[in-house]
Amino acid sequence: MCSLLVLVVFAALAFRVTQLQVLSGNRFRRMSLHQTQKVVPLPAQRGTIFDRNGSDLAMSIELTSIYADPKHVTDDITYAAELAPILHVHRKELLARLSDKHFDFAYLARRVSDRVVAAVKKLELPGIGYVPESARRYPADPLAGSLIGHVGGQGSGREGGNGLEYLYDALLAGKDGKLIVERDQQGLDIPNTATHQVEARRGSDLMLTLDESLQWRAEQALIDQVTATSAKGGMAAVVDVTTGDVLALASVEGANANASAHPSAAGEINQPLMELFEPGSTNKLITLSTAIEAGIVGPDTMIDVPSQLRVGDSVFTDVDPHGNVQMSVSDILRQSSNIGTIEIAQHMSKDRLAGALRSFGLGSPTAVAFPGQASGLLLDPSKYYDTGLASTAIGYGVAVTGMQMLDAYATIANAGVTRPPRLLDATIDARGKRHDALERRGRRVVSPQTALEMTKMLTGVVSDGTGACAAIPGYIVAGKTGTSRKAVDGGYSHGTMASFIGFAPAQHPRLAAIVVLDEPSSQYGGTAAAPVFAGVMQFALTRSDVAPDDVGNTQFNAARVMADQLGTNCDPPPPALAARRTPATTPTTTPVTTPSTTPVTTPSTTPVTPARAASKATPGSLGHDTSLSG
Amino acid sequence: MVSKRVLRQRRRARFAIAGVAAISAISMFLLVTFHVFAVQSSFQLDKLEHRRTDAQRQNELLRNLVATRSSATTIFNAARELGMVPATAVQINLPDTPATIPGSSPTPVSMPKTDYGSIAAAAP
Repeated sequence: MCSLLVLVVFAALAFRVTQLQVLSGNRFRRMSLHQTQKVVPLPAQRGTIFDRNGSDLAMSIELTSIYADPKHVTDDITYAAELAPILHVHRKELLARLSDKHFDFAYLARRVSDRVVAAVKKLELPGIGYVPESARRYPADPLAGSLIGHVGGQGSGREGGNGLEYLYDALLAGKDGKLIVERDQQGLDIPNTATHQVEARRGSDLMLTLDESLQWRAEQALIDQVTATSAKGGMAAVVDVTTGDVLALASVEGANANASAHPSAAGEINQPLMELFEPGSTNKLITLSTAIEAGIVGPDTMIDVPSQLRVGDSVFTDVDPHGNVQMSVSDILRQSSNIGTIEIAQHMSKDRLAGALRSFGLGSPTAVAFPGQASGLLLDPSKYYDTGLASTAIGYGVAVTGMQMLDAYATIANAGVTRPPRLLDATIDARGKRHDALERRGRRVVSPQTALEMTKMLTGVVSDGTGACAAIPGYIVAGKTGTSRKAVDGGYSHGTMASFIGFAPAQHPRLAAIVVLDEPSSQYGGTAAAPVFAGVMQFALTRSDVAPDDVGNTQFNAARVMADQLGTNCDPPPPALAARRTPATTPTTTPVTTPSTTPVTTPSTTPVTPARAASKATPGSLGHDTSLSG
Repeated sequence: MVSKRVLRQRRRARFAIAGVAAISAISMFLLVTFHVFAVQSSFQLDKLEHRRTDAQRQNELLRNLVATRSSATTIFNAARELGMVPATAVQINLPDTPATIPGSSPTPVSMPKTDYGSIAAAAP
């Protein structure tokens, strides 16, 4: 009987053991681990963004956040009174956080300096704790703010963000690690019980092609000119035509009631890549190079240019009124003649011109990787109005980004082969190994001969044409001015987009740049944008150690004579920041003036309705203008 | 009467036992010593690890400080505080003749990719 009882008891025990160990073993094991183990996340450090010379543009640092365990806080009022002046948080707010006893964790201050942490530690308050947190810093801020962007999720990079921070988030973020530690009954970590550790993998660093100094110079030059001309904003970009490296990509917002002109901040649009505008006369490069490439004209072909030209029901004129004259193709570009350009374009088909625009890169985003980059607007030639070909030839009826137009000029500078621009030079992984970014191969758009002839013609624009203010001592500059009316609500406003695009040294092109001003008071590309171009390009050339190709200042002297004849002041604008902050020491300079010899002419004939000028299928923003020219 | 052979065997056995005991004792001592040093080293390692982390953190903070203070904006503002103003005109002094590469015929320093030589002459 006794034996039977023992047997039953042991059988019951065996059953229970089997039930616990075998049948429910996994569940209890999980519960046990859950109770005794704690997974501590090890956040990965975010990679750094460098400029081409290794200067930090964005970096992560570890700061300390201070928290309280309200359940262990003994005297809320005293705590709040002592902490408020150190943390610079209002006492009432601190008191509210400390008195909420429902939770055992409440942030008091996040990402504070070591000095603040030391001051709080000195108080030796029970229930106050410290936790390290990563913070994103932009040492050169506000430089290139709209380009670099910012990180979402309170700097952790876990959500949102924009600009390059957003685009390369997967690379920059790295991979979080974890540490498993045992904890006691109260849930506190038991020291030296780390059982399993997965190291956090640091994010990769990005090496950009940007040059911090040149970027700053471009932004300052734009700010000065935007302020001097009361423009709504401005953009500038500089690329190395031999490599496609984007050296500067500046975007500036004009002054408003609350702020003076300033570089576009993170979250604002990056104008060279995202803002669309009609290029105006700078588009004549594409029209004329296509005509030369097709053998329709040569640089010296003489063309009869009438005082006005009727196309369909529209009449086109030039800025400088003239009678019936003969002009060479070079002169047409130099004087930015709308009529001459349209006459040449009329010898080619709509499809050929539209194809050329696409070949030069218009209508699709550039090779620069950037979120939200605009692709521009190109019309289907079959939907052109009667004036579509004429309008497109002089840069209306198409919408482009600054970078696209710069790309087109870089193609001519690169002997007719595109040089896809790039912003990312390389990435550097967590082990310090450099991975060069892939370089996209260029494609031929026009022959070297056409590119050479266009370059010669473009130097004439600076030496003896509308772009005289773009001349730089020591270098021969090739470029073109552009002035286009701004499209507003299906029509055109009086405001203009004033631009200059060019490259230097013309004999061995190395750098190309674009400057565009949004509604400057001086209106013209030659007066508003060209001086900024000269300042930025001169800085870029000397900084890049490019040897001068015009030691006799042949072009510069000729351009200055031309500017004097036109009454154009090519001096750079007064420095806006110095003028604002230290008025007493600001040197007096003459403001940029509109040339007296190139007034805005009002078309004497019935103006073309811009919205209908180029297409019956486009929004009202596209059309053409008959009165303004570069 | 125990034979000499047995006595010798017993002596050998005692030596063997004593030897094993000694080796065991030494091994134990070495093991304990090793363990003590290992623990000591682990503490040392832990301390060094903390110091490394702190140093890295300091390095990051200082790098941020250097980058901020050497940024163009900071330098520009500091220069202005000192009374400097941007130049309104830049004078560039150029040699009368193109620079030449030593030991070669007078050739411009820059290496032309394309011959645009006629452009300078064409400019007025």
